[in-house]
Amino acid sequence: MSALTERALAELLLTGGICGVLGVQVVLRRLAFFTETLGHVTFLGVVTAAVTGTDITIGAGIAAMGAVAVMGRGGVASRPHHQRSGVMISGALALGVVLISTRPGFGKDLSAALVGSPLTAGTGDITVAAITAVLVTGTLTLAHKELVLAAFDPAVTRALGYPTRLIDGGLLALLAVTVVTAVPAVGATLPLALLVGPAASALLWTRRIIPATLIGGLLGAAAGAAGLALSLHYRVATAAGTAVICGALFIVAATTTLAGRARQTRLHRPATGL
Amino acid sequence: MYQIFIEPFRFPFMARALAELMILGALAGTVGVLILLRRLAFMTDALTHTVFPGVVIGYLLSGEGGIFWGALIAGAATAVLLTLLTRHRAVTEDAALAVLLTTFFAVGVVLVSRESGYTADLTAFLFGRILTVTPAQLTQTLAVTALVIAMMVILRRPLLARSFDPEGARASGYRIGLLDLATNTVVALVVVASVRAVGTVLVIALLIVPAAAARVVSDRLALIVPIAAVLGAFAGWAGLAVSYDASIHHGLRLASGGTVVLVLIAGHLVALAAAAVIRRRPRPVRRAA
Repeated sequence: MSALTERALAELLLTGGICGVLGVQVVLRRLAFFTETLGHVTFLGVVTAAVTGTDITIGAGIAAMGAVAVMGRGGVASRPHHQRSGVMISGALALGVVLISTRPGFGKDLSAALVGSPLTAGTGDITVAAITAVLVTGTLTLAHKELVLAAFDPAVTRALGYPTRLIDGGLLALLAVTVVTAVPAVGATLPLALLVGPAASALLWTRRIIPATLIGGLLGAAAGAAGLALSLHYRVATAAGTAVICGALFIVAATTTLAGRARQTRLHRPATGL
Repeated sequence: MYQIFIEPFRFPFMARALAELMILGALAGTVGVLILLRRLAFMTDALTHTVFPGVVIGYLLSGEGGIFWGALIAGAATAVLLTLLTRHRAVTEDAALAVLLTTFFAVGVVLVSRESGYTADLTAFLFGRILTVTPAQLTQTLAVTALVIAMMVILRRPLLARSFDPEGARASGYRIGLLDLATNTVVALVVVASVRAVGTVLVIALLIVPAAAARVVSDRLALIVPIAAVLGAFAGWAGLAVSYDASIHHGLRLASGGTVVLVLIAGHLVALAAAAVIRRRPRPVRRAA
């Protein structure tokens, strides 16, 4: 294994693991569309950084945090909020596309920003991913009780005196950091695959949060490694291969649990989301 | 003004691009109101991604002409899979949409990445080629427009009842499942019709932004629909003209699809500013005056 593939493997294992772990929160709180919006705004940040010659991670970070600040007030998971998300996605994409079109020869950067290129991940990217991994697992461990409570019953959480806005805002900020971390590996459009596929599969197999989080992390890391193997053997885009594996995982999970679940009650989802 | 807004369209290819964009803008603006009322923004976003592998496979099998049919089949497959997945009691709609969106999109990227000239193809599929619209393509767009408008006119009462009062609609004997299927079909048809011209990525803007802007200005359906349609068509014209002028006279290459969307976003911002000046808070949409 060359140093190139070793770095790609480390990057994909870390990114997949982080996304699988945090993904359980995304699925529980129905944050998929918000994550999608976050990815597209991050795309604009990456493009702006590439065109102006600044650091990609910094550009992506500023854009993602800006999106959380603008969008992250009450009800990002609710459907009335979706129209605003749609407008944000449209604007961010169009601005990114127009910015890129002003510079000839940016097609390669465009596809890297959209769908990632893990084989060019440097040690800097891996360090960022490792730091994010510590941040995500640390936060989820320390604030486990608060996060679960706030996900399932925001009203009770508030009544018990927990700072719900801090908890929700913190989770969205963590999500933004994760999406930014995933950009070198899977681009701005595919973190959603790693964030939802493994975690949603894990939540079908077990309905307890801690086991689901562990399984989600393992599945995410495995999907990343399998995506790399696919791309090395069949000459396909690595990140896209990873995303296809995440989708296949979910189809398998949904099929295997279809019969067994028929008589059980629905998993109690948060009524209001964020 | 004449030089910017009229002169470029004396070239036949620009005139065709203008006609295609204005038809699509008006159509998408109208259908966008349905998306707004039914809160289907995420479904629309997912559809714009899931038609992508259909676009790629259609192109690989039979060139430019295969794009429309490939997209149509992929759109239908999305609707079927979404229905199947959400039958599972523990699968929420947004998780199912997210998985379908990313998986289909990734299959498209995988297929493109096996071709040589990968990045050029990817950008063409994602962002469309408005300046190479053919007369046959225009006819196709007109046919889809006629079909969609006819569906919406015929079904306008049940669709409105379903949007504003699902329980009442069910009670008065409307088949909710069929109405939802019709809604999804209408949205999918518009996405499919727009894909070749503006690409899979920018369709969502045509479908979401005009209706959102119209909603800011008015809360009357009788006004929202025409405002959204006119704004969609106008943005097509102005965006095309501006991008042409910038490329020819100022040496600044602006992607035409992206410029159209930026005009739409500017329209939305103007609407927000106007609404803020009038200081009128949006009220729930009323069915009639």
